[in-house]
Amino acid sequence: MKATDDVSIQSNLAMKKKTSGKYIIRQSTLTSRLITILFLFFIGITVWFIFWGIDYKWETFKFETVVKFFSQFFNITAVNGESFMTLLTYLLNTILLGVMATLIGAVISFPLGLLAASNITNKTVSRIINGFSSILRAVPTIVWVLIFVAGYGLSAATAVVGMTFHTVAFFTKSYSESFEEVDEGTIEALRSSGANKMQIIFCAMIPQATTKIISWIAIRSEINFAVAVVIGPAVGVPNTIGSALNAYKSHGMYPELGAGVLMIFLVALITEFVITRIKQKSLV
Amino acid sequence: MSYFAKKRLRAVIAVAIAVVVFVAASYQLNLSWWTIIRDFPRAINAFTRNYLPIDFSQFGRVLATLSSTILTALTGAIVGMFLAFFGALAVSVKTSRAKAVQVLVRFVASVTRNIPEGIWGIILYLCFWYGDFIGFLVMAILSFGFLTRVFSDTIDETGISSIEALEACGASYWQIIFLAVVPETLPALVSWALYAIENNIRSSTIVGMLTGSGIGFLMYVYVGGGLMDAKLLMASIVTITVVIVVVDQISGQIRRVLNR
Repeated sequence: MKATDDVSIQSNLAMKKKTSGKYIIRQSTLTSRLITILFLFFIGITVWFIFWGIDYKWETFKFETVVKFFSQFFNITAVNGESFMTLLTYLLNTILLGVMATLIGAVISFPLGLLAASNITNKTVSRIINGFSSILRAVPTIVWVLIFVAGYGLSAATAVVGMTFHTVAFFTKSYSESFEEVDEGTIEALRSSGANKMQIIFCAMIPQATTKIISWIAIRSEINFAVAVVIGPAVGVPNTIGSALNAYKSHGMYPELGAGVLMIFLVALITEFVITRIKQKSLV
Repeated sequence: MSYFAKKRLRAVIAVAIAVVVFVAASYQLNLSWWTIIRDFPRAINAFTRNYLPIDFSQFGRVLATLSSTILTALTGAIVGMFLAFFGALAVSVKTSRAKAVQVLVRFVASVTRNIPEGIWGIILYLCFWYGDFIGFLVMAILSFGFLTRVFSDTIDETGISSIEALEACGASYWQIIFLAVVPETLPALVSWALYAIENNIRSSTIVGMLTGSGIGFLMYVYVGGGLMDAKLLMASIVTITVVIVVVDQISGQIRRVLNR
């Protein structure tokens, strides 16, 4: 190990000379060239877009409006008890929508994830399921909800079914990855001692992948909460906190809007905290 | 209790909690699973009848709005990346020099990260009215929150030796940053920024629905048109899906090269 390290350092240090005899200290590699090109390209686009591409009518912007809006927005004490309770109920609904989709998705994806794991099934099955799930994953979750509006109308059912579709695709990929990371030696040992597929799955795959799966479920809960908030205003699913906030926006009820945003922030903050703890326990 | 019995007990408790949550949530949300399963074929049927075949007759309009969605996503990520770089310097344990600034930036990043994109859309809509500019602002805010966190994690993970060496030579703060921290973390930073662009294209579609910009707004108009416009809606859905897949593939390839 030591010897190879030395060699690699030396080969890095083997400096090229210019024709004038000076050493070239900074050698460009493929990576550094790629980064430079990307940087210049993206910065060029950004500068162009901000200064010429965007047509924002600055005369419509009034600073007083912003000040007035925020002074009411943070005036949370102006919210009466009744709308506070409504907000809390809607917040609960939103959380439950996210939890539901995560829960159902987590269960449905279990067999799919096993079938997609290339170290336990044959390559064709795994490739088909992976390809299918990557197509499902490319469609944003909101769009899935939009698609089911035709069938179920604007209801919680639409939201749950739509979100579940994307969640299943997400979990199929992450489960199969977790299963594929299971120690090959354990599977080999079980197989050579005559265990069948079911025994391998239940004695090697699942116990070893559990911690990773739990942290994937935690990550997805966070995503699904954000999605459940957004489907209110974007699709119009009733009785969620998002749709309530959208209504407050159009009616100019800014203190209620502020209270709702604060609630969402607190829930997201707690979720993030819990997830960080779970990740520290399992992913590392 | 033996190890296995304990494990089995834990599994049983987890399943029981899941079942209780499931039943309670179904009750609270008024979901009847029987109806949902029974109506599922009908829902698929309604979808195929109303949304298919895809109507590409307004494809020009889709493409015109698509460019603004992609541009807001990209420029937002770039601006967010620059802000997040300095944010991460303030937050990371290795580079922060003032406790107060660290706490402040960490709080700001946490606020920007934990409020979903749609809510930022609503808030900024009330401040700035509508347009591409709002989409750009939301994207920059979201990218800032996300990237500050991952950038500071990246800086935390890099070795401290080069920083110490430069410090011992008497290098100034910015010399240390640009000669030790940046070269060591650059590939990781760029690869996270690309990831942020991928995410932003999804988010900017959603934000567009609320702030009137890009392909999201077009979708919002089609949704408002009800089943009449459903076939046109499908065309924009397919387009944005293809764009997302292509962008993911390109940035995935670039990231693979960078992480090598």
